[in-house]
Amino acid sequence: MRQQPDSNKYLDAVVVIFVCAAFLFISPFLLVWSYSAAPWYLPYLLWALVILFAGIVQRLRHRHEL
Amino acid sequence: MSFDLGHLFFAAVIYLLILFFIAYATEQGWISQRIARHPLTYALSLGVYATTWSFYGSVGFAQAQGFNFLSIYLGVTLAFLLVPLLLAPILKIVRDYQLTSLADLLAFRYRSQIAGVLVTLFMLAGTFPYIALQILAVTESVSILTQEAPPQLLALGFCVILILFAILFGARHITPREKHEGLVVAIAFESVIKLLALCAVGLFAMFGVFGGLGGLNDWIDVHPEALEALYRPVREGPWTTLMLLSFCAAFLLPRQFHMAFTENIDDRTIYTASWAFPLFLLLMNLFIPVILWAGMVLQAGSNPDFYVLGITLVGEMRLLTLFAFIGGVSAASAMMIVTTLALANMCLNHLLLPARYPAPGSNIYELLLWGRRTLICVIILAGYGFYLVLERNQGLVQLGLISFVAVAQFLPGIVGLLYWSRATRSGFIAGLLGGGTIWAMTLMFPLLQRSGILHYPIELLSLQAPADMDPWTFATFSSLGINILLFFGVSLLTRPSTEEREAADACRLSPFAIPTGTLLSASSPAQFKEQLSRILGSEAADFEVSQALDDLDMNFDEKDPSELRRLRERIERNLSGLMGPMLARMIVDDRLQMDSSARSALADNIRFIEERLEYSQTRLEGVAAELDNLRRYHQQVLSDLPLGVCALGPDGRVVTWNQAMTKMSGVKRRHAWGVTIDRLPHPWSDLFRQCLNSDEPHLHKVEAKLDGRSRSFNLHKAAIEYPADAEQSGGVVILVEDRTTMQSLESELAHSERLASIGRLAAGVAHEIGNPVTGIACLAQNLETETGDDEARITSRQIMEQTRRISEIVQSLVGFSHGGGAPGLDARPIMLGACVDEAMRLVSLSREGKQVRVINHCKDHLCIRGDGTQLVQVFVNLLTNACDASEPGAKVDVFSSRDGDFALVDIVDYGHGIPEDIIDQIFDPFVTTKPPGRGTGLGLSVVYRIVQDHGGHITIENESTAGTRVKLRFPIIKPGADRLGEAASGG
Repeated sequence: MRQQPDSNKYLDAVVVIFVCAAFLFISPFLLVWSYSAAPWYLPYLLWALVILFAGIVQRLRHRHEL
Repeated sequence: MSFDLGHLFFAAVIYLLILFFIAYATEQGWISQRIARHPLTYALSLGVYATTWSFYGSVGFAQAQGFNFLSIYLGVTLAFLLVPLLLAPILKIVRDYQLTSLADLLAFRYRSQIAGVLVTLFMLAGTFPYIALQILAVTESVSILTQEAPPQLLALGFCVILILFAILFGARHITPREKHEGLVVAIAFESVIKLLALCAVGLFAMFGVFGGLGGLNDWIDVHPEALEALYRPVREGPWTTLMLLSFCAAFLLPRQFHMAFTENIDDRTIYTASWAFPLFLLLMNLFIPVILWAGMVLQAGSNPDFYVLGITLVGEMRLLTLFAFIGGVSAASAMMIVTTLALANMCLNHLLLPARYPAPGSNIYELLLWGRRTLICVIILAGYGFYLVLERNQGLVQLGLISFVAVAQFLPGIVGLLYWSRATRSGFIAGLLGGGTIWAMTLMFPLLQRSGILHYPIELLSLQAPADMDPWTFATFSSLGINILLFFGVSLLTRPSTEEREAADACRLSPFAIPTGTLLSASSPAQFKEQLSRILGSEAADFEVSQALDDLDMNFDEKDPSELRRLRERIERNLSGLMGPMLARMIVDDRLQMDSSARSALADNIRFIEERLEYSQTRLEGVAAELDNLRRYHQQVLSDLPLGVCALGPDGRVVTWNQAMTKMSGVKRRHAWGVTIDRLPHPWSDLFRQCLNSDEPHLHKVEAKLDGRSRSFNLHKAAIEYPADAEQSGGVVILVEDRTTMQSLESELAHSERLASIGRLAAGVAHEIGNPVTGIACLAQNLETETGDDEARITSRQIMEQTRRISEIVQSLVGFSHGGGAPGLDARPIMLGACVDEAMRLVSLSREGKQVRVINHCKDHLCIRGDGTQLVQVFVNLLTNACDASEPGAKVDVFSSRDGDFALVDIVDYGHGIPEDIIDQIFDPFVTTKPPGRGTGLGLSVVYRIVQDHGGHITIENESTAGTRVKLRFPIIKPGADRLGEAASGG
């Protein structure tokens, strides 16, 4: 039971990342980054950023699991 | 530059053979399990998502729809971000209930064979275009490389080879339940090949065509319209629709479900996949715009779908072209093999077996295996048939998206499965039929009509998107909208059956769904076998029951009803992995009938709830979490109580068994739980029965033999009131207090009191004796001086000698009776030999001491620092033991010697020795070799403590011939202090 706050923290982080990713890729915010003056690799950079944070969150979970 | 058809075919077959070798090597253990079970291997195996659509079609998609092609992978990324909330719960259900496909999962949740059949049919309809897409991509790629129309038999030959490989990969073994580690590693290898091939082509485009990143940027500066063509569709096209479709496809496509859940070996690996799989997809797509632009620069053919091959052909890169072709074959073969295996399982469980179950007595495993093999052939050949009649100018992406919209129709069902227990089978079926109909009218019928398969006027069978709406958006949202509306609407209008509620609780891991019922038709595993053999055949029934017993670590002679209920549940789960959840339930319900109205045992309910709460501890929040904390606290209090607690439910079964009880009895909690007191080991069953039958609530000093030793217990009992109903009995709680140690201490205390009384008496007697003895000594002295008779003088001297001896004995008695009372050590130099002499005098007063001859060989000069009285007590105790162990007339030797700075004293007797089984515990309190009433078992423990207090060491060993040798070792005083010691102990 002592692990519950850690587990909740992990789930909170997952939800936050999901909402941020949804904001980047589904909301009208995509009109901002899809402006044609952006470099061609910008969508990949944003995508990589989401993956990076997903990896960090999983490390957080792994640490608590240990 | 062109390639020979035979060479390409040969290269593809060699590649597939290598793939099979990898799978075979994994299954044989030639490839380490660390690799096979590595999370990254699992993540790469999910790369089966990237088919020829991704490998070839993404470039064409990018040309037509700009960066919209990325949405097909970003949706997957979003789905995998939700691993703990979406994918891990599905994986848990699939593993727990041994489900092998999405059709199994939905049929299990909605308890409907019709649901399973519909899902399977819909999945088949949605997948044939996708399989046709793969065949189309491979034949088109061959056509581009050979620069001639592919022969008709090429596609058929490719399909036949894939049938063989699909059977080799997934339908080779007789036991269909087992995981195919070989398949996982082979598909992961295919993903690596796809990735390397596409990256190699991308690097060629970047450096071979544009001369590096700088050249690419220069080209973009000159052609800003190319960049605008990528970004504009994102703002205007069906981006959100495609994101939603790919979100669903990430785990609902048959191949994705199969690799993510069915073939998953370790559930922790899915968490690594949450970032590793999206990373793989990112790398797969990184060079797509570059390849597109390179194709435009090089004018590499008319179809951008195959620019991946086109630019390498124009660039005269022969090996790279061949590698890219192999990458395409890899993408197509992985998809077809995994999809076919997944669909074959679905068709077997939900179409073939419900329609025609094998006759009892036949070898069901063999039949299932051949059924699966046949279905693999039929599915791939049906895909080939679809390819033949398909309109050839369909884009690869268009065919793939038809499948994506189809699998998206299962999303409401999954929401009901994970989050909405009110969802009913009627709602699910209505939604699926409604959504499926719209899907067919918007996408499938128009495709068939364009391909010339359907000849009806298209207006009757199809729905057209409004002019200002993208057709994919229209098809997706109209079909999904109708589906969701019917799903929720019909679910709210109908009531879920009891079965559906149970399944919903099982899927949502509700901690409050308590299983009920008792078995009617079987009361032992042997009867399970007999009942099941009537449907499964004796061989399969034998195997299934044995397997379930092994899984549960249960004995074949198990008779306990609650254990048999667990066995029944396990068999149902195992059969579910073999033939689907509905058929498994039907078989088990038919042959192993339950009386569901019977109330289950409280012990089972408690165990079930505790197991569920243990699992769901991270899910509880708010008041529920606080209550659970409180429950755990109370449980811990009971568990840590130093008294044994055994609570019996109203049915007489153990519901509580704490740690102290486990320690006392040696019976573990999980073994005691749920059994009646009659089945508890001796002496506990008798003790508890005696306690329960007694009119008194407390039983004191109940004697029992435990491990051959006599133990004494106090038992207290109290009736438990049922919390919900005061009228109803809640059972009995029994507290067990082990008072064996207390009893020994009590008897020792009484003994010590007696000794102390004797000591006080002895001191008084000595004082009273002292006066007349002094008088006798004076008279004898007078007689010696006054008489002239020599004989009388000798006699008077003897009288004085005897009175001196009496005085010494009296002094010793007085000294000993006063000793030991004061705590602490009164350390002074002590001569060991003198101590032994004094102890000998005291021992010789006892009856045993008189019968045994004690010989003191101690050297006088050995002196140690210590408390003389306590050291005398050490030797008295040791010599008493030696005398007790010796036969009358025997002797006891006391030797001393010096070993460096230590004095050694050995006391050797020639008696019966000490039994070997207790010699290691001989210094423990209450351990004795003497008969009851003769010894307390404290003498040696007192000796041990005193020796330790003097910085010494004591050991006891049996002599090789007979008797015992006690070895004492004390630190001696430096030689200069010896004289002082002599002076001090001289009196």
